[in-house]
Amino acid sequence: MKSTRKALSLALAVPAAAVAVLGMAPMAHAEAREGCPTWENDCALFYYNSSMEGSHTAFTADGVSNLAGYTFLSSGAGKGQAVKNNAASFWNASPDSIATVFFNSNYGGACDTFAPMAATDRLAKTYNENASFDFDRNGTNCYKWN
Amino acid sequence: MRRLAIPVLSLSLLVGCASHEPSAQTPSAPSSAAPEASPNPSSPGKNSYTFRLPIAVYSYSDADYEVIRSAEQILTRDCMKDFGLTYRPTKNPTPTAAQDRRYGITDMDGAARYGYRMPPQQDTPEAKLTKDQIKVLYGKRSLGADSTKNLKLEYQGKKIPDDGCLGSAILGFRKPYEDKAGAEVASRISTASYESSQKVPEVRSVFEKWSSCMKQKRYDYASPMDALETPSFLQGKVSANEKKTAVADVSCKERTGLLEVWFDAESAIQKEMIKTDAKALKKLGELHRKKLSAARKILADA
Repeated sequence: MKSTRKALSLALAVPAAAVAVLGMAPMAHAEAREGCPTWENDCALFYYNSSMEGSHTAFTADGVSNLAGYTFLSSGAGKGQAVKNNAASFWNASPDSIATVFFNSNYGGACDTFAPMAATDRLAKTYNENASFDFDRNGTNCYKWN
Repeated sequence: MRRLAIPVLSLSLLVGCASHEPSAQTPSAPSSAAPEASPNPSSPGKNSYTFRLPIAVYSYSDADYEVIRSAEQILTRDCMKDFGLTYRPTKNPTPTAAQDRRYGITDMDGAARYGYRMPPQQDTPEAKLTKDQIKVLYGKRSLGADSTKNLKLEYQGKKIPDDGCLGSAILGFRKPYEDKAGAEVASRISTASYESSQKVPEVRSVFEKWSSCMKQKRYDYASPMDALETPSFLQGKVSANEKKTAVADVSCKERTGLLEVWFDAESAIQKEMIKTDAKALKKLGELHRKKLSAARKILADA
């Protein structure tokens, strides 16, 4: 978890594709950025490599029903690559909310819920399936391993 | 989702009475009487496919999470008290019942009202915290800037934990019971069984029947997950067509018995996978039970 423990930049770096996705989805108010702004906000990070290494993207405020169009933002291995079905590890940095990662888009399919501040070094090992995610509400029917 | 300035939990749990907790175990139950894996809600509803599958016995339930959350709140409150600050968790509004979407949508009423969307959720009221409370509760990250790396946060001359009272309560309480390797095994089984089950002949055959049923209603999808992932169902407002498609989807699932066929196939796959990883899963289940007992003890002593 050390790479995420350092205080992270507030700088917003939303790629054009992500803006397009957000623009078409008025339900979602998620913001993609390099790091979590404060612990008062829901914040979850996807990493390109296992064990919270490589480039990462932090999502705040709301879930994303389809991660297509988002890319890894921070410097490191995998920067610029797609986040969808391509993340190797995950950290729910929110101290106040659970966060859930779904196999399918639209909060469907096999899913794992992460307790506040819980992480996984390997996201569904060998599969890299992460199509959508959400805070709180949608974790009710998902497994809670940590 | 609205942010939660204060963690949510029901006050009844805070006073140490886990009366809403459907897990069978009581704090005084001898551990030898405990079931093989983590305690779970006594009987998940018929449509709770996820929590009826064999691997579910190794997962915490929502009720378990509430017990743990409540215990973390006691630890947080005690930490805040050491700084001379009060900390009172707000009452949690009852969460809206969510559907199990492992096999797509399954609920006819929900399909007719919301199409493929999640039902609307209540906003959680935000607790009002003072600047001092926020600083001690969230620690360094309450500042939200990267200039805090070497900063020593203090409140009235007393050093604040880097993770704040809340963060250190959560992480400190988790540490002795954490089993990342076990969690990865369980997660891998859940994901692999989900993927493999869709290649089982019986499941492929029932997908075809479902697809023909949908075609009769003029909808063209190879599988229920294709319908769920339709791009136009992920953006903009719910259309009449989306609602009709969703109703047809659930109705064709009912007509073809798709859900039970899929569930049976995935159950069989999981049973085999669980045998292979029995040792790792047993350890995971034991640590979950120990963490729950510790949480109940904190609540009982509070």
